[in-house]
Amino acid sequence: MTMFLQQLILGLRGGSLIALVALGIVMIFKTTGVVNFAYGYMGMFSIYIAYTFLNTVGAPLWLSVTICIAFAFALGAAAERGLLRQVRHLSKGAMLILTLGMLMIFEGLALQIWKQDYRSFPNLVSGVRMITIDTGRLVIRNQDILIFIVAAAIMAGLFIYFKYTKTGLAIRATAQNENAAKLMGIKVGVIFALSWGVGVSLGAVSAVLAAPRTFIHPNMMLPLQIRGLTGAVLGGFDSLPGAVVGGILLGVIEQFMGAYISEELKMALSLLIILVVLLVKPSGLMGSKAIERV
Amino acid sequence: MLKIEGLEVYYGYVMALKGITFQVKEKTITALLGANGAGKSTTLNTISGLIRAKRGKIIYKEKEMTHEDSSRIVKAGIVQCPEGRMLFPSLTVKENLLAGAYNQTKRTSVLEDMEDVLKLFPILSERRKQMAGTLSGGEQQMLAIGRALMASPQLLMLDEPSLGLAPKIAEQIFDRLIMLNKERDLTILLVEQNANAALAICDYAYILETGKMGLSGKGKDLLQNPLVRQKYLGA
Repeated sequence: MTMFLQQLILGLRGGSLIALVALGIVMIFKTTGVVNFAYGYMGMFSIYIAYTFLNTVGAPLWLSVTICIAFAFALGAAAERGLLRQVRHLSKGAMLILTLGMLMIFEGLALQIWKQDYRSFPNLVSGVRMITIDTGRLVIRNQDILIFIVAAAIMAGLFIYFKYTKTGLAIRATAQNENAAKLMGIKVGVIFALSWGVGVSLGAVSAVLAAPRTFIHPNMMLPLQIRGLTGAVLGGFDSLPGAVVGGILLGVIEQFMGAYISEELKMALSLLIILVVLLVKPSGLMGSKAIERV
Repeated sequence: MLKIEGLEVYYGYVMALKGITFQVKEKTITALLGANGAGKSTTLNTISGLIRAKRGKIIYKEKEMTHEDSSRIVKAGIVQCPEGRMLFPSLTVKENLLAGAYNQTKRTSVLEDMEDVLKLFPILSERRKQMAGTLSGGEQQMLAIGRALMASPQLLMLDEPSLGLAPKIAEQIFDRLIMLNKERDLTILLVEQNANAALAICDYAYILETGKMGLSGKGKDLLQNPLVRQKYLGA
């Protein structure tokens, strides 16, 4: 029982991070119709900014993190406006290739500027909590609790934003029919840039939360990005709640696989389960029936 | 109110509009008729700023709007209700209407407008919380018109509002358009394949023929014109 609960907590921690990544990827996909393969790498690049401010400039942690997230927003919006918008009229495939190119550019730039070294990044909150239950003790890090809180707050915030604000409505309208949105006078360009900005900042947030364990290096976000994409597929890829459910589920499944079956095979086994789920329900857990092929 | 002068539009190398000229007078219903592929939708989409004109001018209230951005055009009061409805299928009826009011800044007037639209199409009131995608064809068309009205248009452009609707429903929709025109002085530019119905309700009509302007005249006169009867009215 103790082990089960302990693994569940760890699974939820991992799942929350995956859900954040999946949420950002799905949000960008839903509004602009492109899967951003550079997603994790943009988050990685942003956290180097936090690292630099923290260690080279000597700024306090909260300020470094704030700057990092603001930088990620600007980076996302600029990438959309400056690069993706330029090929938007060609095809979704062209935009997809462009994000792959961006992946390589950010990886290369990070290697050039900060080298391949693993660099440490502090927990935002330190300390550990013990919870005694009938059968033993559970260990929860404060950082993990923060991860839950941040993930839950962001998800709730996004939900409220989409449901109850004018811009949120405009984003949903644009996602469903770009031309109709234009005819309503919605500036779809601004909406695209905004979704990229918010999406990429979610990537930066997950990088900041994950960095104490993964360390900062140019490929730090690769595992999380793969899991985020997988979680998003599991959830349905065009559904924001689906991304959250898929991401958390993937984290928990993987943790249990690792704990009870095999640590080495956990990724493969998790993917197998997802494969089965998708065979039974090809649109994912919460996706809509038809997704446009890109 | 709206003047189109020598409008030329290309899709790649294909010339879709070969220099058309026409005008829409204030407080009238003007119809733009023609067969499939004549360029009717292209004309509306160019006016709305979705497609760029290569040559020619779009003049609205004495101001040139040819290369304006679509959101500016909506703000200026030209609103299009597009072909095939193009609703936001997984937004509710209410949310669709609110999306139409995106450019309105006063919350109170938005709510008043919504009351007006729901009075005009009472069936939408019952369906307020339903997803737009679950509505019937006629209801969807009413919602599309309602959504366009939420933008407070001075010139409402409708692209094939009767397409795919049962004749009775289409008649209802045309009745509402007449009402909007007569009671609220709304200027309407109506694109239709159903020439019979459109000529019956319009003040003035233009007929497009593969990107060029053909006949034009008062609706009543065109209805009597033997050439038009033979070609467009199947009589």
